[in-house]
Amino acid sequence: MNSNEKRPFTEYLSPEARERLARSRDEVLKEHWGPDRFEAYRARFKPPAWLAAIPQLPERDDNGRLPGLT
Amino acid sequence: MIDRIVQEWRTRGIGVLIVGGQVMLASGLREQTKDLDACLAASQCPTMLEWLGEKQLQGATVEIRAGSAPLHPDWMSRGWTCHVEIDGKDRLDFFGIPLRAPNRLVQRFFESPAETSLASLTELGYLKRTERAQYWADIDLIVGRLREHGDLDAGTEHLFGNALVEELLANRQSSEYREALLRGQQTDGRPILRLGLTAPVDELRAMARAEQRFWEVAGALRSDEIRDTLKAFWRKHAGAIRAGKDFRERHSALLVAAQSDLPVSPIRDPLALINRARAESGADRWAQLLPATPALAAQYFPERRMHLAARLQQEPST
Repeated sequence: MNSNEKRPFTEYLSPEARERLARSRDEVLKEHWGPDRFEAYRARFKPPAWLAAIPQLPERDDNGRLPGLT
Repeated sequence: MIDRIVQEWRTRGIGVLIVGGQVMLASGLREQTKDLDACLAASQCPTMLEWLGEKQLQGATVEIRAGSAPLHPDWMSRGWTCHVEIDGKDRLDFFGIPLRAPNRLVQRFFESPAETSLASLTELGYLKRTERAQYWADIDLIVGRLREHGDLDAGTEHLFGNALVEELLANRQSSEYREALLRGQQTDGRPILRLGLTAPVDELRAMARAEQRFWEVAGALRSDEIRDTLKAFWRKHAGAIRAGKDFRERHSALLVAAQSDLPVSPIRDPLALINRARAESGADRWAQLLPATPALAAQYFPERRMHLAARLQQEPST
């Protein structure tokens, strides 16, 4: 890879650091609330079918770049 | 019924880019929202007007809410918005290219204006950098969801304030982290991500507060100016606009009034607004904390960014 090429900085993180950063809100809530309350919460947050049918733009473009402001 | 409205648009080939609460809803970050925020390319404005006129003919009540600009490319493409209510319950908020729109959102208006799609969470995060506290709470949720999806960089792009400080303090001792962050795209428009690697803790905290405050103040200044302009405009013209017997007449009256009395750009002096926000937020205490004013104005006002990009393309390379 070209050394000047921009790469996701998290590629360089240790596995532990990546795990800590990536720990999801869902995991935290499940631990905090317990599975029953958590599942009830997830069911409430189910997006409506009509919205799920509309394509969402990907977070990055074909070159892996974020859709930045600059 | 927002879902039926969007279905009608798709059937008729009226393209919109959905932003706002519906994107939060689609991503499971909100339980409900009443409004539909739809960005329209210039080419879609006439067909949307036609659809709204037909809704009225079919028996629906279509009202233009006070504080709207015309649903016309001259105003919509520069940051004005138009607000319509159907049958007193469905609220449609139309945008052109919204302020703080990221590059791809702008591109999409020219490449595929007739398609209907949802903005990405990353794009929505940029639009939410305003004076509204609720929007900063939304940004926190967006960061969480992006990280759940494994896109940690996109999350960092939208980390502000204390959350940003915590992340930097937890990781900046790592040479790998520092090197990667400096190489990353996130620092392109946010110098704090670079400065934060070495700044003393108290100073870093102050910088992070000032950086977020800049976006809040810029949003508040923008809102104040737009609100003042629209209040004066609607106070003067509401009678004529509301006298129209149906949506088409009311919108025509709004357009005529706007042509004589509503500037096409909602902000008179973008550079002055940015400089004032810089000073009021305290961000100018650090010369390098924010990009230079012209670059910041280009971040905030997509119209300026497009203008600059076009000028750069025209200039012969040296």
